[in-house]
Amino acid sequence: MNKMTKGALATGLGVALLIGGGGSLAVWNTSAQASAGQIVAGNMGLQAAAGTWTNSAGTNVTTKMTAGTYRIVPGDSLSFTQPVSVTLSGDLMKAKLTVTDDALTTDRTFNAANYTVSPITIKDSSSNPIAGQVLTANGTYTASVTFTFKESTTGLQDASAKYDFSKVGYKLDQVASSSNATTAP
Amino acid sequence: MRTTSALKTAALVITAVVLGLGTVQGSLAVWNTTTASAAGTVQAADFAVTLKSGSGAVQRLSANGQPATVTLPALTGLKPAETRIIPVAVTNATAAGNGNFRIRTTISTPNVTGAASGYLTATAGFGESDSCPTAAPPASAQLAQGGTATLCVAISLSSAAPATAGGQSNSVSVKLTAAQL
Repeated sequence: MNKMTKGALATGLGVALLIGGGGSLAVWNTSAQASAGQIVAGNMGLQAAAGTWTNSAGTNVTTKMTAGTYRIVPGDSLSFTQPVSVTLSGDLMKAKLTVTDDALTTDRTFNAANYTVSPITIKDSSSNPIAGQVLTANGTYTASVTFTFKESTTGLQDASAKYDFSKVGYKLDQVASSSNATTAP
Repeated sequence: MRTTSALKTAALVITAVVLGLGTVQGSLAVWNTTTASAAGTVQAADFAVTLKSGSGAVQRLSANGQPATVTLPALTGLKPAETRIIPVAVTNATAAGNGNFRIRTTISTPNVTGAASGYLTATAGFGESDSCPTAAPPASAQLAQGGTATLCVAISLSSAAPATAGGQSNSVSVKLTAAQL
């Protein structure tokens, strides 16, 4: 036999073997459902409610601050408090709540010598700061900051100056379940 | 040799990929969300003390945070032995948010300059409401926010003023300062 014939025979034999294999599948088989259920992802939410501004006389000046008509003078101070709600959904959900501040230099024109701003703090319902703590459950926290226009301001310094707090925000970062960060009580 | 070199290169690439993936996963591959405070802006008041004489325009003692010079209406036709009083309304117009911004305004002794200054006498003081007292008005006044006092500038031409003093232009300057209380 020449080479062409040998090749044709080999091919034919291979095809026959495939057909034979197909025949071998026609035997019993069965199946069953795993009933494994669904994997549902959790969620996390962060919401800042309307804040409250109070001046040094203890007067609520939120309406004027919102309208941009309140004018601070040396010796006065303004305190801002705001409830911040955290929603955590997930069996191993953990997160940290922090303050962000994207203000530019041009947003704050007071001379540094003439004012003080307290650190922006976030506290729980027991007035304990939660900075650096890992939250594991839903909760409402209170953010606060106080701006003081120093009484020692002289001349006409900082007349019409401004200090923009509108770029202050909050950030909630999930903490991976493998992390060993401190958990809030 | 070529095979060994290729294997080393492949191992290096795999190690880099594994390290890169591991690093990214550890720092970024978790959720985060943000919200704004919408806290608003703290804005300082402008120290506003205004002056107005008669039907003249309202002028400010300071402008853009700097002391300003206020020009009062000219006094003409003053005769020898005559005294005229120029009342100027001084108002604490600072729009302080606390509503309790009090100031004290104080005046210096008037300074007269000009060709006939030797025959001119000027005094100044604060009167109550819209009247000027005839004798020794106080040199300072306290004003509540929105309050007004009357600054009285009295100018007299001596009876001994010669005729050559007539028609001369003179000026009277009074330094008025205001301070927050």
